[in-house]
Amino acid sequence: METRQIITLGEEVLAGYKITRPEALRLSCIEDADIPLLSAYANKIRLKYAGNHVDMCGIINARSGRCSEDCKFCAQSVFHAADSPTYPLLSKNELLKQAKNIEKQGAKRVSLVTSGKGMQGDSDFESILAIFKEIISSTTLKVCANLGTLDLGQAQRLAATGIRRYAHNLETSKSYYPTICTSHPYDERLETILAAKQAGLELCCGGIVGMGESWDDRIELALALRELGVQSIPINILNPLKGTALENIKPPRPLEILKIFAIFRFILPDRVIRPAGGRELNLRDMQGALMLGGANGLIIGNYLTFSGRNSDIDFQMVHDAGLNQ
Amino acid sequence: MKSYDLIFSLGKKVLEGGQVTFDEALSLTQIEESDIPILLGVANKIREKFTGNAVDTCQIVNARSGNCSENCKFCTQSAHHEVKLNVYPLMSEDEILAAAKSAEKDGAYRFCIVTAGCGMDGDADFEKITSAIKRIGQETSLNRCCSLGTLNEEHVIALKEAGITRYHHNLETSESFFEEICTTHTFSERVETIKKIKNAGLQACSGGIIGMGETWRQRIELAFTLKDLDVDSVPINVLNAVKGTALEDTKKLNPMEILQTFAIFRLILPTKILRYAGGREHNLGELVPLGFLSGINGMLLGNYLTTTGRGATEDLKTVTNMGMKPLCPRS
Repeated sequence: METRQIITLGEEVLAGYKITRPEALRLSCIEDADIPLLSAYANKIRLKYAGNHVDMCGIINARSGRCSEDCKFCAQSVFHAADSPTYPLLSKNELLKQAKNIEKQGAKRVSLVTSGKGMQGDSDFESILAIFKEIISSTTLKVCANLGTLDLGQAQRLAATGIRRYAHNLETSKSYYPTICTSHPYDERLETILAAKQAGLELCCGGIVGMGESWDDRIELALALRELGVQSIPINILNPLKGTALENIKPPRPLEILKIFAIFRFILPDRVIRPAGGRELNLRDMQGALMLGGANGLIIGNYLTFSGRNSDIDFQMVHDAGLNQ
Repeated sequence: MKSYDLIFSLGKKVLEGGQVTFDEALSLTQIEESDIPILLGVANKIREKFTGNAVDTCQIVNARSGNCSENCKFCTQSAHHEVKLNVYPLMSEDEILAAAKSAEKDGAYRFCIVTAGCGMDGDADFEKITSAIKRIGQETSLNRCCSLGTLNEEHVIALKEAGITRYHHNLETSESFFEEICTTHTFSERVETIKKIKNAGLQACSGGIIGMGETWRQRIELAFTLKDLDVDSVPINVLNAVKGTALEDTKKLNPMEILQTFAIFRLILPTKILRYAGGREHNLGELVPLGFLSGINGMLLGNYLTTTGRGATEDLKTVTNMGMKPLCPRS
């Protein structure tokens, strides 16, 4: 694709045009020297449609490990011999303490995450609702839940408790999904997302890049998220943890990662696109370029099974890039 | 004309081998802030086309520090300023050699000996410096540069014979702003030294410092003067307003304006080395790596004369992370 075509397409998206799958695919073929230009357009699109705010959230691993599912990237799956923490649901006091710590770091949003396939028949669900109530009443944080599969009734109860947003990644494209997970189907993930949406919850759904998927798959994922109307799209970049089935995967280059975020922004002009786990490992000191390349959200602090960086650096980075929370 | 049309038409002209005029370059300083990243992207493309992915790295040694007779307002080494500074006479040849070996070990492509003072006229240290330069040539594979202030023709010849390939002498700022920055010597004296260097067939490394209170027009003037002098490498420092200097209270530039300056310099000087120099960490913070996506293709590695950098290893990691390749002395 010629430089001129990036500009034309960028201007069209700025004028309100919805880009198509073949157009997005053509963008994925640009040469490295054109990536900063593509990022610049993604930045302009972000500014026009999503403003200058960065949505910062902290996540809490409220129940860790022993997951029945076989997602190949995940350190918490029982199918993997990864070195990851295993514990049952943490106490209300402990979770409140962690939430307050996230609030103190300066994030405006917290998400409670539990390992396991989902909440159907899960005896922790009632305790989790009580914990959510406590966090909502004791902090100023917007509270999100990430509890795996849900039925509509459960989604409605979360909404009634005051949960704003439900997080449930699609992980990857529908086409590539069977390569990543075989213990539950992609459509089951979709059903949960639709149940949460029906219950009036906002959606936080994205995936992981760098698991061996093609550009076709990445664009398919972005288009599926556009179709679902999700508000926030976390994009993890695989951290190939030892012991997982993907431990030997070579991560994408920083410039390739910039290209991914820019193309997601072209496809999803007004959404929150949130760099998530693996950004420190894979982008290193190029994370600032992402803040000028279409991203407008961040997961700060630590991830579920591995550490992030000091959140002060992230706040500084956002400030240096001329954005604000 | 919308600013992106302006950016692309000028970018295209440069990519096709054309040159931007002074007024065109000046118009790039007026673009909307949201279009600055587009300008950076175009500068990156020009950098890639005319200079490839190679990054020219150098490490400098402050071989003689402080007590300088000149009154350059930004400088910690001026005798006119009260700055806490480590002041010392010329290092011994062994010490300079040790600094060169350390630069080589750090992976620098070039090594530059820098001395405080107006210049080499009647300077008894000159012989010692040429001797050190020769010895570095015998004992390392570094490309050798030096920055010794004003020179006469004999000095230039002696340095060339000693094995210097490139001489460093900043213009500091534009001719029209120079008197605001320094009154103890003239801008034309600086230009004369650069001309002597070029006339002798040596390469010239000459740039300046931005963020000293100069206007955009003056920055563009500097770039065009450097273009007219056909300098080979252009270090761009961003003022680190050190306490005790006359500029200590100068306000920092906005990071986007700094990147925009690099990009405009790249459009004016498409084939030259634009070199990241002092003040980058201080002023750009987490955005330092973005310079390499905005037209930069050279850098000082590690520490500066009187301020510290991030360290050579970190600097080189940034370069490779950007998909670029540091030049290697043995390649």
